[in-house]
Amino acid sequence: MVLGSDTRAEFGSLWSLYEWVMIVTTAIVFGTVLFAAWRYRSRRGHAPSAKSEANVAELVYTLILVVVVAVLVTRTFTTENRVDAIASNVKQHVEVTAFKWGWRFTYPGSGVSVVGDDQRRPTLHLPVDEPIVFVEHSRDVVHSFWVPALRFKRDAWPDDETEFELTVDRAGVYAGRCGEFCGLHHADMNFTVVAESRERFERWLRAQ
Amino acid sequence: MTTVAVERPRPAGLIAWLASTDHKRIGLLQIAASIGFFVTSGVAALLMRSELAEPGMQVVSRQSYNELFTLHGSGMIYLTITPLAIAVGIYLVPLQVGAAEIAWPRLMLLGLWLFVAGGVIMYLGLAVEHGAAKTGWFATYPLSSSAHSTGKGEDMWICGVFLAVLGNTIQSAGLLATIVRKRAPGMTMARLSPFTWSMLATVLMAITSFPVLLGTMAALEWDRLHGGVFDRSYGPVAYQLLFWFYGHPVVYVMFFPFVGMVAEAVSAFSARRFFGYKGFTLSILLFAALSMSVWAHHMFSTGRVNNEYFSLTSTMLIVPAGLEYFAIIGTMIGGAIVFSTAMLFSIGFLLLFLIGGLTGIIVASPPLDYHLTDSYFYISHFHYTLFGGSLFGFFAGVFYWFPKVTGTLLRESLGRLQFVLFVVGANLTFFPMLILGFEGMPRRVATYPTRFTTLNAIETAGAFVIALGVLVFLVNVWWSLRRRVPAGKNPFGGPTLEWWTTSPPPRLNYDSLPPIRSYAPLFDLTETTAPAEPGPPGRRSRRAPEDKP
Repeated sequence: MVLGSDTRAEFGSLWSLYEWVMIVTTAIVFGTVLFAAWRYRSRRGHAPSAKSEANVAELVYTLILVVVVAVLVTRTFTTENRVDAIASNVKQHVEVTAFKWGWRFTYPGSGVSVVGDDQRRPTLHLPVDEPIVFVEHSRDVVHSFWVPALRFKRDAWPDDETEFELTVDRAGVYAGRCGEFCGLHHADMNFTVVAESRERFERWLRAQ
Repeated sequence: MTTVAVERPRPAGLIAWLASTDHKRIGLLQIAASIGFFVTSGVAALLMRSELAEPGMQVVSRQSYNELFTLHGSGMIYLTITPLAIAVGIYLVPLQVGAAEIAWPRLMLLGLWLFVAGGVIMYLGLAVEHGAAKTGWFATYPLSSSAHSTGKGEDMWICGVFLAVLGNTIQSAGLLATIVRKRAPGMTMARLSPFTWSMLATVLMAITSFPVLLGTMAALEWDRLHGGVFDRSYGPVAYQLLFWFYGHPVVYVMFFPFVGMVAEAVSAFSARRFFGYKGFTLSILLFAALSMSVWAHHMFSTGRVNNEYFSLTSTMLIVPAGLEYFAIIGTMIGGAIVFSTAMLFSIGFLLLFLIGGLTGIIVASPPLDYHLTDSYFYISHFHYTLFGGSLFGFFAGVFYWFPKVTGTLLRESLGRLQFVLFVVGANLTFFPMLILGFEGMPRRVATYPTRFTTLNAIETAGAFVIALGVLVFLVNVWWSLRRRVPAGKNPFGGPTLEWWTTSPPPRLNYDSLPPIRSYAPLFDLTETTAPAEPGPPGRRSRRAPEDKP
């Protein structure tokens, strides 16, 4: 059985590894360049070195780089496997239809469908703490479903459906928007995510 | 009977320039045209940044904003940095390999005028009904189809891209032929200068990937006129795969030549032989090879490609990129560094490109890229590579080679001022974008939520600081050409062949050549301590120039 994954938490833990590697690398390179520039500045009584290669050092350095690549790729792959997996224990499905310039969110089996556009922003109600499977497609050009707070986006295609799964780990109101340029009103192709407890979500669903 | 040589009248004045088959004139004209398009694309960026100084719409309409970012992106990629990279090669490569002329000079000239015609046609789109193209520099399908992009502006954009890239493809082939066939006696492949090696890697990528874009643009135009190409199942994703097969190698076409320029400037201003030549050469070839198989990392969020494969190849770029840093920093360590403007721009290149490279490693990881792609984080990433990398490298090269090209030194004081303005401007403009993108600001929007206002205002200020830096550069060129400070043959102690000839070089480049025993032939003349050529001595004697007929 495949369990749902918390995309935001997965992103956070992978990001912190990358962030750490980036900061250390930046410190090493900035430090080395600035030190070399200062230490080896042209001055009286200082002749440039005649050495033109250091193959052993370069080989060792290359191996270090290979190890860094291996670590980053391994962590990326394991994280991606969890993020891309579609859970098998899913209660909630949502169909997302993107169009110029708005969204339709349909809750299969309930007959509920929410639609809005660049003039009237639609709201996407979601239950928290459970995996939700989205099936997404577009009615015209390529759009992209992006909720920055959930650290996830997925393109909507006119010729095919794509499927993804998200879990919202805490209740709240989040901004959602189109992440792929889609023409004149791309900047206004927004939506609002309202994440709430299962009970409140059910109550909202019944009230529609 | 004696024959009398009849000399045809040689064209003079403007025609002598516009129709010249001298690679130096073709290269200079192409550099001038690229800088012209750099200024127009820069003006587009200033208009965009003015609109983005605060939320809501103030300066331009939504439609104009979409035209502006398309012209800015297309202008910088197809009409500025790619042709600039190749133009520098057209000027320098024949000199560096010790050739009198470039291979296929008339085709190189054709390439120049195809590129200029393409640029003019792209801009003329502004004058037609419905305006210029509004689909960005990669024209995603079906947004670029006739149903969603009406008007001839889009067709003119396709035509402009086709012609410009066709011109650059032809020129790349000519550069490859020059490197393979036109080397002077003694100039073996293992003695090519670092810049010429970077050009070789560049043109290998160009001739393998550019034709794919030509086909894609032709297919897109056919689709717009008659339909039936991409308007079917898998059509939109096929368009993206084809486009990015060109679109990723071109990123390195826009980068490698400038790495080569920095490598040579650092070597000259550290007063020593370029360090780790073999590692640099191998790494740039590895870089080029890998760059042909990373294209779909632009498509992680599509859900329709094998993310793992493209993530692996993209992350592996750490290795060749790291080796290039090793060679360039290794040249500084142990040198006697002179802080000329060219050296300052080289150091700026190393530090600013690093930010672009490292953020590139972040977006090469699909779970991170799902969030960051098509956001301002990504805009920041590639502006650090193209502005902090390519353009800083270009200006390092300009300050280094300007005396060779014109016989005149550029003003160092104005150069330092430009450097400071560029460093301040670039970081003010591009660093806040990392934060904005992470917080959720998408690219290609003319307005944004009010909470993003402060950082956007800082970016706009930064863009104008960069513009001031460009102005200082143009003044510097004008002033230096007006009040000439003669440079002599080799003002900076450059080690490569072009510093042997006069400044500017004569029509056929060289009256004589020094012996070529390594990749730094002019150092060989003065340096007795260094080995003339790295490698086993047996090979050296076998390949020595005096053995050649």
